[in-house]
Amino acid sequence: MSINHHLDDATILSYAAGSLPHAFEVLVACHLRQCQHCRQRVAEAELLGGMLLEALEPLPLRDEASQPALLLADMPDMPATVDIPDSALSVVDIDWASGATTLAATGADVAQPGLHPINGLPELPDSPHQQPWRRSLILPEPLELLYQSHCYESSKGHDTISGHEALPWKRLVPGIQHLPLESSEGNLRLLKIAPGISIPLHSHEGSELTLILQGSYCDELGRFQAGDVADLDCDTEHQPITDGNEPCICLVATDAPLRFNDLLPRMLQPFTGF
Amino acid sequence: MYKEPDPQGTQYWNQCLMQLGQTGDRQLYQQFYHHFAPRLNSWLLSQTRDPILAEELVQDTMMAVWRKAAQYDAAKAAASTWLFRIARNLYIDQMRRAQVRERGKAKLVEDDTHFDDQPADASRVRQAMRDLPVQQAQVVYKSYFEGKSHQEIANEMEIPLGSVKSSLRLAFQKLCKALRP
Ligand SMILES: [Zn+2]
Repeated sequence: MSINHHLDDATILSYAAGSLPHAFEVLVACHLRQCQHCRQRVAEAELLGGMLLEALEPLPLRDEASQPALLLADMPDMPATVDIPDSALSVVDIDWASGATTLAATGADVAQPGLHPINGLPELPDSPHQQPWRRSLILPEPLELLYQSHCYESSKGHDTISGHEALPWKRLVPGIQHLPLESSEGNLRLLKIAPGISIPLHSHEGSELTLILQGSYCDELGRFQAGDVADLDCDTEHQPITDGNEPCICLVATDAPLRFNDLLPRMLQPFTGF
Repeated sequence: MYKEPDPQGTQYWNQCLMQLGQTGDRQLYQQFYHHFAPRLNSWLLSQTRDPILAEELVQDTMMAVWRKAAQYDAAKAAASTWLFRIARNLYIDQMRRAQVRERGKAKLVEDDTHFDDQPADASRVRQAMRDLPVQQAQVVYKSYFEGKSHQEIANEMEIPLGSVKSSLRLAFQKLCKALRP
């Protein structure tokens, strides 16, 4: 999969800083999974974050009990050094499997080089993070199902997602279906657009990020295919047209709650004659 | 807000953390703690605006350092980057009340990023921050230190969303240049 459209640096920086709304964070994590270019960029922004941290004026901790000497008295000795596979030291770590499918998903992952469970580390019942420097994120279930049905990582690589038919899509207008996903901040939804559909010319008021999961579309900015992300400035006007033979499935994150609905009457226009 | 460079630079702390991982030396830990805990506290207080929560997150982060230092690799990341990631992840979890994750779940992204072994230095970044136009410095500050989204920054500063993004973009590029002159 070759990726031609990447995340904007402003998005990368905010992702690294941890300040993207949840909906955007999920989408960015999905793109990073496929894009080494953007992962490297995030690592730069994290390096910058660490440097800014070092440059901060120290603020002494108030609580006496927080002095390390006292803490250390209760602390067990440090666990012995263990070898961690290089690939386990990741910038992004997404919990892909839902509870119900943990076994299957884990089995598949173990088969991949460098993804063996780490043995010999003490359990930390008080911490959810086995590798606290890795970022982990739980995907909304429908998105998880899509990824599970699709072999992005497989070298044999299927080009289509089979699982999308099973999802409870809702028809928006003829040729366009959507599926709102849960997110704690911002709006996240899947869109499924039939081939040959033209979405009327529009610009964006808030931020909008689109990740193509399957199929493709063209607009003024070029052709967007699976893995590509459209990180548009809000004043960019565009008129995407889906092409190819299969539906275009994309993940869309927006931050203005009503923005998508504002767009709806205009999207409906060609179909309903409003 | 910014203070003069520590005579012991970034490389020193990378080595310190490596050594801590290898030896489990408590005095080394103390030294690392005294350098970073108050800085983490600064950062987390500006993020959380809650002194008690900030200190709790500092403790959690420093505990993770003690427990996980053996897994730190200076060739992969600067110590401050590693620490920043841990603190940020804990902060995000705290804010989102993320569900408890089970061990052994999918690990999806291979770490093919690398730490360019050029001596990146906090003092150069500090200087580069000073040299930024006010608006660029503000958007960076609000992103890294206050956890504000692009839209929140636009609202607060009463500037268009597009200006927030272009300021962040420009600042990021300048600061990266300062990291690798
Ligand atoms: Zn990319």
